[in-house]
Amino acid sequence: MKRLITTTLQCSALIALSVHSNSSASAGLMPDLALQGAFEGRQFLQEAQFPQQKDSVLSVWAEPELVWEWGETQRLTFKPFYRYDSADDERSHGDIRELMWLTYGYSWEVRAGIGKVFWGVTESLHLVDVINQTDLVEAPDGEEKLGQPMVHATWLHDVGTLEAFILPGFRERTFAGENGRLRSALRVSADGEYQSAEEKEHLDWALRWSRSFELGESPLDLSAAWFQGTARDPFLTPQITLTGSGPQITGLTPYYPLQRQLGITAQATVDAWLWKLEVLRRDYDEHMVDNLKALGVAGVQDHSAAVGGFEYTLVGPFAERWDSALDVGLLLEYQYDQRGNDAAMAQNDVFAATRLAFNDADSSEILAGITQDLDYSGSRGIMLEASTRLTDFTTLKVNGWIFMADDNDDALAYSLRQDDYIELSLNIFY
Amino acid sequence: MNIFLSLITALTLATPLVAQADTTQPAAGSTGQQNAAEKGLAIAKDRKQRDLGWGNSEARMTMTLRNSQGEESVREIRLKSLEVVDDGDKGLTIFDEPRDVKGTAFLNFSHTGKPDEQWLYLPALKRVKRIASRNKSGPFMGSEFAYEDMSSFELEKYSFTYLREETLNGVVCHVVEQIPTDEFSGYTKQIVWLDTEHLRAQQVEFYDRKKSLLKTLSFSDYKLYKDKFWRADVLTMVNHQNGKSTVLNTSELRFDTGLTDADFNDATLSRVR
Repeated sequence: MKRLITTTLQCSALIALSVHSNSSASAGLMPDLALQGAFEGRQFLQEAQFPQQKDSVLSVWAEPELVWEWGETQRLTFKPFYRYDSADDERSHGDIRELMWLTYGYSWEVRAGIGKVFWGVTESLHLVDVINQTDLVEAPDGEEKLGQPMVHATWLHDVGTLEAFILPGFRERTFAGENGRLRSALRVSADGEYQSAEEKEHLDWALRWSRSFELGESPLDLSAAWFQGTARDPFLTPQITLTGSGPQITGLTPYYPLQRQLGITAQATVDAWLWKLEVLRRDYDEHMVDNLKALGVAGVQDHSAAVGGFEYTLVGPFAERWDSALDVGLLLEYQYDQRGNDAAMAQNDVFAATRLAFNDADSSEILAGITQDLDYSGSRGIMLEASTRLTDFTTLKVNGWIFMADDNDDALAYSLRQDDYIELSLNIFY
Repeated sequence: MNIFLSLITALTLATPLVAQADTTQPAAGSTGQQNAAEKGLAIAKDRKQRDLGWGNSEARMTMTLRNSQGEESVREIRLKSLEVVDDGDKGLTIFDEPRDVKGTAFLNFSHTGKPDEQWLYLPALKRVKRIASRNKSGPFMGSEFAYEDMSSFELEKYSFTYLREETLNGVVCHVVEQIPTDEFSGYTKQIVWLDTEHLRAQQVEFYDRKKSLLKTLSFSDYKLYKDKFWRADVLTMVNHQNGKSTVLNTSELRFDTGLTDADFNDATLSRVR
């Protein structure tokens, strides 16, 4: 009760202050508040590989967003996130997705705080996207990201858009816990190891240039980015424990090396075609490579990788025959990694998908696709994402994954082979 | 990922089919085809000419979708527009409701000599996606408006033919046929009613690829801004083939709000709010 009164008083004070500082319509200390959250049920369709794992999982998450604005060109955004998961303690987790101050002028922007930045053009893989760590417990596609501390400056120049990033404070990737599905047989430790003696405090940085050109009548978007610092993708090193019967591998430890990375993207937009390409070159320090190789960790080498393909949209193909506003998108992408099939997931794979946009009042949409490994013919992933609006403040989503693998050599895919699932999600917006 | 597809649109609604001007004398008696084409173009030029110099504007709009059973669905959008000299205009649409698309932004560059350019900003992913220009005939936010209905009115986009003078709802109008020059247009022709006094669009009929009447757009509640520019507050699009309709209602429209080219840039789309 006392707390409520205090809060009420604080609110009143804030309102009073905001009235006094009411220099323009948007100014004030009272934030603009939005809230979204979801109730999710996941049903795994096969028997779990490990006895602690559950077949049915309930999960709930919330993500409020508070925005304060001063005048026309200053803003503070605060977006915390929390998920509770009925099965996996590691998936029950919180994060500050955003706590970002933004100011801008005619040809520049400066952001400071915690936030998210997306780089890339392709759909099946985000090769060059390196600023944020993946919040892997959220979804197996790696689309969810953890908030990254940064100072981010943008300059709109004649030569293109120039961006600089200073990235203090490293975020470790999240991995499923003992009771969670979608994990390897050996548990991945929550505590990572680092090449840098400064560990999480190593100061990473990045520079990026992007620009649109004209290719005939069609736009060609190019970007190039340099990143230097601690890798977001860890190598998994074996934890060796001495037991009565000798040394045994009892778990995996994420090892975050230092890396230098050049990422290039290109997209050409021609009529109904989007042609997309991402190319990556990543280098490590030689002594680190030697050390990890000595431990038997696969795939530790300087390497190049690429993903490229197209999205082609058929606009209203059924409009005349069935009076349907449905648009059909066809996606095809090829994934390449120089390290080959003993080190990389997306080393010689083809992704094919279709995107159905119903163009109805409820914005209904379906994306269904398959990723087929061309080296391991038995390894493939099939995904489905469908969504529709139920009311002005609720949407319904269905996500499903089928993982197939028959060869133990394709270790990561093989570890997921019993984890096909379907997920129903009721999303609420306020 | 994909909150909703590559289809959201909108745009420079400010200039579109809404314009005015004085015109040449109505056709007296029969005119040849050549004359009809010349006269149609002259009216269109006049209409465009009279709307030059509006600069920039910001509007708040409600879009009401109604299906054939009368069920309604409402969207709240804000539209920022920038006039571009010697090319099509730029438009930025920001979605406020429904809540699941709040913060989504759609950027459109209309062009005269090449396809329009469009980008969508998805706030959950912090991702700016370029949209293929081909789908101009696709629906805007599930409504009966297509992308191309909301693109700015440019002379290069049509060939014109003057048809007749006719009184529509008590207003004397020129009736002009517009045939889209773009092969990707969803229409074979449009018939436009422009009042002879101000050359403001009063009604447009859209004919589909089978040359059947598809939709009728009606304009009402015209207001005069900056003593020169007429804008209709209410646009009603009725689809005759599926029985659906969409009403686009402008609740607030301001000109000269200080918008510049930098506010219409895919590189700054992520700060839009």
